[in-house]
Amino acid sequence: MTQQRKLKLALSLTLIAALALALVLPFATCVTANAAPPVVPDKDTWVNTYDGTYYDNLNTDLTGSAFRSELARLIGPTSEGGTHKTLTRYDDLGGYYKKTDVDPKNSNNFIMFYTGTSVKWPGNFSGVINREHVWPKDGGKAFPEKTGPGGDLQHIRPCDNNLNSTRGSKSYDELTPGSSGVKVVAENGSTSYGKGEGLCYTNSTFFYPAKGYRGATARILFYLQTRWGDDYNLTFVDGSGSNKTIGKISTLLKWHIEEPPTDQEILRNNEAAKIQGNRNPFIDHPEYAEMIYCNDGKSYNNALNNVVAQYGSYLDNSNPTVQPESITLAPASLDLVKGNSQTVTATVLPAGASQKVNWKTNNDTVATVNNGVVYAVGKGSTTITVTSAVNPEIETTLNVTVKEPELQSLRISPDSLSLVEGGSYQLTVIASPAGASNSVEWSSDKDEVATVSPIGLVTAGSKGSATITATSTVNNSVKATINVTVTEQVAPPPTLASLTISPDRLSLTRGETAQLMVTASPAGTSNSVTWKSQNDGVATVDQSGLVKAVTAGIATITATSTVNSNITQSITVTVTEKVVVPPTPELQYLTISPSELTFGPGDTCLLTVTAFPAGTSNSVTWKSGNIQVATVSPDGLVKAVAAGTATITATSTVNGSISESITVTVTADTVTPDPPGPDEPPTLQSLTILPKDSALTLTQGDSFLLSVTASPAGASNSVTWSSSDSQVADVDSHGNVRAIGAGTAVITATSNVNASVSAKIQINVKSSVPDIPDPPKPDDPEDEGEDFKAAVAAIAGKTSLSDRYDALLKAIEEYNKLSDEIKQTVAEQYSVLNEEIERYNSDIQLYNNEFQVATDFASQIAAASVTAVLLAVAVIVLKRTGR
Amino acid sequence: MKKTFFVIITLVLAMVCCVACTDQGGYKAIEEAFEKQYSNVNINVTVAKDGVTLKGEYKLSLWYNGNQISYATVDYSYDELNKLSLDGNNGESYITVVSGQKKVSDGKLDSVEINGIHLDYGGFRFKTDYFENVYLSETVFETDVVDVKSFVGNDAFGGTDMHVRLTYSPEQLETVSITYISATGAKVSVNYSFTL
Repeated sequence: MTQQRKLKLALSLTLIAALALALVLPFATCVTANAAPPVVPDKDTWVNTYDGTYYDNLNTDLTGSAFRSELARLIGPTSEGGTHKTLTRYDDLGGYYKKTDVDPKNSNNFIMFYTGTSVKWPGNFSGVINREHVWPKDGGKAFPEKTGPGGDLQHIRPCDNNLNSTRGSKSYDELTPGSSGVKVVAENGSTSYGKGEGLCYTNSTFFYPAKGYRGATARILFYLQTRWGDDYNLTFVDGSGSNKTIGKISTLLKWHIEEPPTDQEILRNNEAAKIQGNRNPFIDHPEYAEMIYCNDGKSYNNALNNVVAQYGSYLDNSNPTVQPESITLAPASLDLVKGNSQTVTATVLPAGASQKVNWKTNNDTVATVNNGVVYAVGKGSTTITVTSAVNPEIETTLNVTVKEPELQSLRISPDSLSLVEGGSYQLTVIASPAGASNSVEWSSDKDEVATVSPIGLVTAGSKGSATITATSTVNNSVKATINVTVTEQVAPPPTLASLTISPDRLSLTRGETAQLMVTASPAGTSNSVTWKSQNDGVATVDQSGLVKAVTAGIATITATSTVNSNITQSITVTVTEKVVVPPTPELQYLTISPSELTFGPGDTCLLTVTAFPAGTSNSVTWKSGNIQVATVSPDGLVKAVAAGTATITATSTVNGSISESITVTVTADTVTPDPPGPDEPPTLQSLTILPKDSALTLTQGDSFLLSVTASPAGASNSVTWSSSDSQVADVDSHGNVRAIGAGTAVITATSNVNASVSAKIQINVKSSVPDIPDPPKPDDPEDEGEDFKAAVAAIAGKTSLSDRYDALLKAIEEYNKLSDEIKQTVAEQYSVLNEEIERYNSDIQLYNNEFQVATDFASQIAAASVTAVLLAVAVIVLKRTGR
Repeated sequence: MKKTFFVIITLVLAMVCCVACTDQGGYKAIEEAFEKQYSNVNINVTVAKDGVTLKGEYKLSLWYNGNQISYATVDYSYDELNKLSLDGNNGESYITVVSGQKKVSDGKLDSVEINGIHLDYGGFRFKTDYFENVYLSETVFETDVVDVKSFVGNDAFGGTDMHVRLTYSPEQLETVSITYISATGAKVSVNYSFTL
């Protein structure tokens, strides 16, 4: 074999070994599995299933030591008429354990006593497995280490070597984990075999097995004491034992009751009996323990009877053929001090009869009874009747006398009291010692301050202090007092009823602010509020109540009390756009037309006044400087009265410092003016609106004052104003234009003298926020068809859905602009558009369907789930309503 | 020879690991988790194709009486492509969000009876045979789905390249994310979130 081939072979063997290890390793870890203590049956429902004949010849009428002797004979050596035919030896137990303690899940393992851990049996006891003397051999002082009880298969159990050593020769009792000196017992160096009750604990005196092995421990000890006790003088004690004694028997009996025989114990008993002939009778008949150890004349009998009374009796389901004949009570009568209690034990005879009894007091004001525990309620005497639960004709009575302890002192609760006028409070009185009479008479030293009823109810009178005294009716030298302080009734603080906001409404223009004030009612209540605007987009409000107008609209401002959030008050804030009034030009001067006038008496002439600059008011008051020569009306109509000269003055009503005058000459003779005469104002030729711009642009909300001049001078400029679209701009009789809404309107001034003479000005109104785009320019009719054709042509170049949609939308809009006449000329492009729309609609349907399918899929998260059904329904509904 | 041996060893070990990690018991727990009574289930659906992405969100709020839903609401919001019409009334954009709420009370979804609703699919089925590249931990299950039809319980389902990711706690499902390519080539993503 070459070196290379050797290497390959070595490598291959290594890999095969690695693979084998990988496959075997998981099973190798099962050599020590987690502990699996036997399931403990419920003591209240456990039923004895043993139905053999092993015990048929026992005299079960016996109890105590007599019955124990009967039982000891049965399980004793065959030489003495017993059944213990094979005395197993300590050294041979490994082989027997293969029958009695093998793990049913792994025939290579034994189950460890006290913990339930399954451990591989290595073939000898030199490793982790040891043989536990449940009743400690105590180094051979108690009995032979390896023979007799030291080799008895019903006694010696496989156990972890480490745990066995820790347990040592200690007695058994319950320990509290975490208490001083109490430690968890390790198994093979580890405490991971269980948790809580699944662990074993120990201190310097006792050992506390894991749950599941406590009852079994007790039954092994009962067996050993019965089988070998006479031979080696082995006895129980109700405490810590040593050498030939073991305890604590009351705890062992409790465990025996709490943990009835497990299936594992019963099976093991059967297997052990096959090997050595005798059985553990306390597994087959748990009631035997009670029959023996509650009645064997030992000092622990009362303690064991109390355990049975508290935790139950196996005799109740032991032998229904044994009928109760009598009941004995221990003690037979009771003298109790009120408030105290004592346990009475009832024993139903003969042995084997059901120990279940019913307790009933004949006067529960004297004494009550609960499962044998008698409680002294009040002074007096009564009887308690104890009846067999299986035969009510079997009964006995217990005489109970209750005395009250001698009263030492009284105490009133509370030890002081403060009341407001009219208030009341129930006092209680406590007698000491407990059970002593607390019957008292109540009294007050100042009834005007506080009275007290015979049952201790204190009622406050007027302000002051009083002493309340409780005097014992049993011993009037025993008293208790408390001090009662009565204070005046203080009116409760007023409660907030409502809020008022001032002002109760607001009208603001955009950007303006206003301070709100809140008043609480009734007076004296808190006006602390939180402010909130229901529409911050219209108006905001800060927590001081300051409102700020944001945009046009209506908002509700609400104040909510910080004391009581149910109390609120609201006001409405109306926000309008700010009206921008362009600064009115300031009047500079006036002119009068005509600027001079000569006419004869009786003649008239209408003067007109023009204000400068344009846009300023020409409103004036007229005055004649010499009404003997000429008068002037408020409208400026001058009338010649008599020859002479007069000054006619027009004074601005806007600015009284600005005036204009003309001189009027009245001739002695009538003067015919060369046209026009004073009676005939010049013929109106035209009107001009000032400002002279052809168009005026205003912002929505603005106002502007127009004026009009007539030509020629002296012609009437009296006009009527009108708007082509009052939704855009309106105008009042003085020419004041208001910009209402975005758009264009034409304002017309029509002469009141000659309706055919007018002047116009275009008003462009732009939106305040945001700026509106320039009004679309009307298409040139000649281009209409061309725009549509271009829009249709543009469709072809679009590929994405969004671009196609936009192009089609544009073409549709262009088409809908066309007149019917033009539409006739674009029929070919219309057909193309129609086809493109159909194709687009078909394409998008594919995408919508794709989404629908995906949504359907999403609904299938689980067919059995109600959630899925719901979603499926939702999808279907969406199909019906939306798609 | 040496390489072949390594390959065999690797495959055998991979099979051992696979069997150990993908027990049916774990899947059964996942399937059972789907059937728990969740108070809220949110479902997000996204479909993307040719540069167009449509999204939908469904929020289910559920109340139970025993094993039955006593009351429920479905808040829905989903994208829809607009149709065009020559008579105008066309939307400004080619896509619209449709939203609203449906309520279920006394077995009725608004006016629509639940009874008689037929589900096309049988619900998800978790079996080792359907998956590849499985990752399974105490909080995450993630896999490629190689037998999509069996997994979704519908032979007519045309989706491919499906990937599934679940997150969960011992008590409930947390999220489920599924992606796949539809029969027409759309990329579909479905995400669930659950609240007990």
